[in-house]
Amino acid sequence: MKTKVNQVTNRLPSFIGIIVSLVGLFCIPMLGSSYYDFLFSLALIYSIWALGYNLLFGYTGLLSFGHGAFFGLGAYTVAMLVTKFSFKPFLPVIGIAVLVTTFLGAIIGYLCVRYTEVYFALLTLAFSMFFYALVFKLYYWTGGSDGIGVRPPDLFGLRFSAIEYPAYYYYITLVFFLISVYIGWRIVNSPFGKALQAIRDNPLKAEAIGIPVRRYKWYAFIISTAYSGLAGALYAPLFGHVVPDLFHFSLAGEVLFATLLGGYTTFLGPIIGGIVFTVAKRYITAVTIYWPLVLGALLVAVTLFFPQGIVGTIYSLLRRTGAKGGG
Amino acid sequence: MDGLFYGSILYLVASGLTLIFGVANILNLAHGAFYMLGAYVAAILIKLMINTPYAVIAFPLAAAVVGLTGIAIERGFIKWIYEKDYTYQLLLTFGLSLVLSDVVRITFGTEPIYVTKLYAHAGAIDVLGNPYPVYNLIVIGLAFLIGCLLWAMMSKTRIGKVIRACALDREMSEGIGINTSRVFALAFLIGTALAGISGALVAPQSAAMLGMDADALIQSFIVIVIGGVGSMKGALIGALIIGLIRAFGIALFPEIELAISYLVMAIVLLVRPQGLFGREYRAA
Amino acid sequence: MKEILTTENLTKFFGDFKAVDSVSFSLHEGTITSLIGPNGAGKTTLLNMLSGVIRPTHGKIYFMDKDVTGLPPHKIVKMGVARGFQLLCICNNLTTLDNVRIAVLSHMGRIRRVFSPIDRDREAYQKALEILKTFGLDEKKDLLARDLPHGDKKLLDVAMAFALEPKLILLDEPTSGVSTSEKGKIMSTIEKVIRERGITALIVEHDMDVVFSYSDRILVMHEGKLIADGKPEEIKSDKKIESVLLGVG
Repeated sequence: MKTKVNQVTNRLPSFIGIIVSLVGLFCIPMLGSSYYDFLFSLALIYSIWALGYNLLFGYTGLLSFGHGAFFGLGAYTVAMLVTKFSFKPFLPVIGIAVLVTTFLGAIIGYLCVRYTEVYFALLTLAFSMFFYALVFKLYYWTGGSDGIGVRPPDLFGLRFSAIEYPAYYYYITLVFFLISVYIGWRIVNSPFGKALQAIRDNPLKAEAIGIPVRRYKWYAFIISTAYSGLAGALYAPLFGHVVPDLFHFSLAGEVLFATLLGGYTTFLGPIIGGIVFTVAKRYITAVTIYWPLVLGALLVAVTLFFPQGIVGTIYSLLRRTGAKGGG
Repeated sequence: MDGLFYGSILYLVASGLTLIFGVANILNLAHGAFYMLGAYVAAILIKLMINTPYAVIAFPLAAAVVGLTGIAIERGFIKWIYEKDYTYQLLLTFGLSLVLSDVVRITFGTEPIYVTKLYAHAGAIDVLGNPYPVYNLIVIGLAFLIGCLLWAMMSKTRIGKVIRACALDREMSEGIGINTSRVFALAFLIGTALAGISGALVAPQSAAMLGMDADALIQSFIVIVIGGVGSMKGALIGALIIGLIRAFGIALFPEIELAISYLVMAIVLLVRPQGLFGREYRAA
Repeated sequence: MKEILTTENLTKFFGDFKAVDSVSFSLHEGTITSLIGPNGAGKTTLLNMLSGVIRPTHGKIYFMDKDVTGLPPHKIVKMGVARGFQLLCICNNLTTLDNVRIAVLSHMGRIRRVFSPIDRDREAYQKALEILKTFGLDEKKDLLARDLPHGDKKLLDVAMAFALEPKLILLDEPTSGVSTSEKGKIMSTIEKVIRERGITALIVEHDMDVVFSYSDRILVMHEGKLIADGKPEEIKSDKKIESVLLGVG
């Protein structure tokens, strides 16, 4: 009997836990260091990305290696808009980036959800590498291997550079983060969210009770691409530079790992995973140049020994000690 | 003609991938990394022995090194997830591919290694009025030879039958006393060795360089999709098709060469999802 | 009595293998029909075609006078056909309640709601609870489906089908794998619900005692063909059929 990947709970930590975390998040800039502002902006970006990704992975049961590409698309769209086309208004730029990414995600998703399991995963990988190669080829537009420098966008007339205003950038990112989490929360608790889980557990039965399985998989894919696009869009002005490596499948490995690390069997997991991953990556890359090696090794270790991730393991322990039941 | 060369290389690496998938039901995402490893090992060995006729030992040696690495990885990591959901195998092999390709980067550096001397040394002969590198011909011939050996092994020998039995039905095979675990290890050995030798063979023609793993993985996947998973015949035909496309593409429209491979794959997926010779129907 | 389902020369080839061979029959509204036959006779394949899981190679299926041949499962469900499966078919990682609830929501057309919390839908919750009560599963509503005992899992599979308020229900060995003592309980529950709501049922079953206790009519399949179609008494006394069933099944 093959053991299937499973999803168990939308459970949240207690109300107090949420309040404390929110306060904590709001207070980050008060630490006074722009380093932390950058770091946590990036952490929240990864959390958004992982959250959307897990909607597809943990909730619908579809493993995609292509979400690096959607992140990259969001980032590159922003870069091209502000730098190449000198279109600077921040919110519309982000909005357009999300729309573009979602649109392409809809097309690619439509093709990929027709296939199951391994083939789905490989198709997403292939598409992502296709974009990778495309970005190199269209170097007139995309700057090829040099990438594009991202000029600061305009926010309410302010030249909104993440370097000059790291705290403001952090707060804007935080707002997007909270909105994304809220929307995600509503989705997973809706009938649609349950339907996705049913599809993950038993697509045959889901179909047999009237759920249009392929169409819902497609919807889940589209939503996850929107999240990836948003994350990429927020990333571009933060980093100030976009490069083709964003499309390489090794970046997809990062969101995958962040999701796994946090715990794909939970709603909260990917969020925590995104933060933990970003912080850990910062420190690891500071001491070694062998980041892909470490990432790969960690991925292997987590897959073999720790598949439930941080939050998943915590919930498991809590359940075993008879704490309040999940659901 | 170049198409045949590309096709031969592709056939070797893709057949390794399809063998592993067909037998052990594992899609080895690290397959490209094995290919790259083979290229680097061969390149280093050739460089060491460049002025001696023994340089050709580099190829089988590279294949052996890769094959042994493959089996080590299989025994050490892969065997733990055979019974688990396909997600685990993809995650695991994905992680391993990152590790392996970075190990290659660490060991051999970031600069490509060129061993074109050997390539040039083989010279060129006239084919249909145009000079054509002898090296390429040798590779084509070698691929053909290996293909025949594989076919012979699969259909004529006892071990081949055992492998095919496992590929068709693992439970049944275990029921009749076959040690499937060992068969899987063997499949890995052969499969990765094939990847290794194809990488080794391509090194003198182009180079051993970083990033060739991703390329090989995608191309192999496209070949398998077209040819049908688990089918050696399919790998051959698919590889030839892609090889020819690549050759024509590079000659005529360098820009769209990439797109055409994907296009063909997309068409095959739409029209005949199980590939030309595949047996399973894999649409959702 | 109206004919709610009619098949005409329904045939299915898998490659060269003829799994179902020109099967034609009609089901009358409100009746319970049993489909029996030895293993490999094609019963599950027939059910798969009727529920849209696979397409027939030849032949037609009419449900309530509409041609439904080849329609995908979720469309057939919307027309009022529900299906229970032979091998356990439930959503293991959802709770018992949720399993039934999504079926209810699907039937109510509310499954596509993306923003409203599922728990706020009291109507769906009540309906799901009622169905669970009917099948005796309400005490276990918060258990994960995979933690249920086997007999309850089978009941859950069937309960989900009933949650769709179908006009026609297709059940594939609803009591297989269940202990003899439980079989009676399960079948009588199912029969009660069917009779109460006037649902038409086609039930694949191996246990002859079960079959003869509730069937209005019996269809017998062998090697893909329909070899008998009649009342239980007729089938029971037919020696030829007896040998077919005993010989191979």
